[in-house]
Amino acid sequence: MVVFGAGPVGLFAAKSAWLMGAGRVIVVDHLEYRLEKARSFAHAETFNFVEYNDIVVHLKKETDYLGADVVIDAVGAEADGNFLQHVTSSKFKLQGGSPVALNWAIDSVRKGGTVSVVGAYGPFFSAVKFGDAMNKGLTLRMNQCPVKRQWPRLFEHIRNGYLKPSDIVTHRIPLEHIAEGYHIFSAKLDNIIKPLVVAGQS
Amino acid sequence: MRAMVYRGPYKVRVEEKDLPKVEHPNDAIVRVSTGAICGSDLHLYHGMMPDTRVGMTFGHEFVGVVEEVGASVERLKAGDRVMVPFNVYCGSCYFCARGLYSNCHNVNPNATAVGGIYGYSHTCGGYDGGQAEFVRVPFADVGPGLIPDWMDEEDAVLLTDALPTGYFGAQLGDIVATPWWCSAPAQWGCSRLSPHG
Repeated sequence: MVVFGAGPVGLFAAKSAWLMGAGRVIVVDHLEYRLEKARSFAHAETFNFVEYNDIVVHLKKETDYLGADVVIDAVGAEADGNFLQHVTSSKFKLQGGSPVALNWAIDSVRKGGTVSVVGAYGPFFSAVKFGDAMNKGLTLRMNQCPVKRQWPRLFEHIRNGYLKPSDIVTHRIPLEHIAEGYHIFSAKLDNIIKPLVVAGQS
Repeated sequence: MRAMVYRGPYKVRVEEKDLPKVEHPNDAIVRVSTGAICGSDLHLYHGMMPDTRVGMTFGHEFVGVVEEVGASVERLKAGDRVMVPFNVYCGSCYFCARGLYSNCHNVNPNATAVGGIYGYSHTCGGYDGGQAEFVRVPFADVGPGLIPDWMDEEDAVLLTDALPTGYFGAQLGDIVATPWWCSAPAQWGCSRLSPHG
């Protein structure tokens, strides 16, 4: 299976995939320090899409030209990687988000495979390659997570030592300095992966 | 209290705000001990989310201590350490009854399109979030859970969104467990030898 996005959600998705019995886990991003975390924390193979002409073709090569069984979009609406999508969404608000990761997911999953979307998309429409999804016979599954439904099993995984969520925390920002935190996180400075906000230390 | 406040795209600051009050008998007020900034908060920060109003406090990942509860709250009391899922949900509508808490029909005027989320614009219900000293938690008997004694607070805060969402993403993929003699050939680059592809 392939995970697009090596942020907190992507890292956890990759790690969880092993717990569910995946045979191979690949994580794709463009931030090298996050891919390093994907290798060390989630034990995944990683590809930096900037290093390949076409990451979809490369993923096909890696999977015997079939495509992955499952592809997870853990990026959402502000994906980098396609200038036209970026301009039409972020700059001119002509669409609700830039679905680059979702389109790559649709292209790189095998026919009959499953695309799972947990990246955030806004309510406005986006330019998604729906025809390809239909013609490939894909199963598209998505939702915002119903958090409490996941707790019983995750509690057990944490208690048994299979998961240590706080391993991905990189920054602890006092509430009083949260503006700085937003800037660091938004600009991806200081190898940030997950910032926590701590109370009462200002 | 001190709270993060949205001022416009790429502009947030910490301001003095009124303490949240119990507005409904099933509300709780939680004193936040640890919160987090989520990648999806950056969509708000970048001004990408419709109806993000100036003055809004973000933050849908937080844990803390119950400060006060409304008259009808039965499962929480002042002093409890709680973790609060990012979803605001009623627990009793058609969708909640089917476990679709993120699609609750009772917590957002825009409920046909999206559920309720703490600190995530008026598109998602207009609830103030947890990047503050205190936060109002509606449906206090439904969403929040007690943090077990053995759990670190930093693990608990990641259980309010990031970890469950990643796990859920993998779940939605319906991964078929692959025995090692099937997965090994794939790792050697000849996945067609494996019955699972």
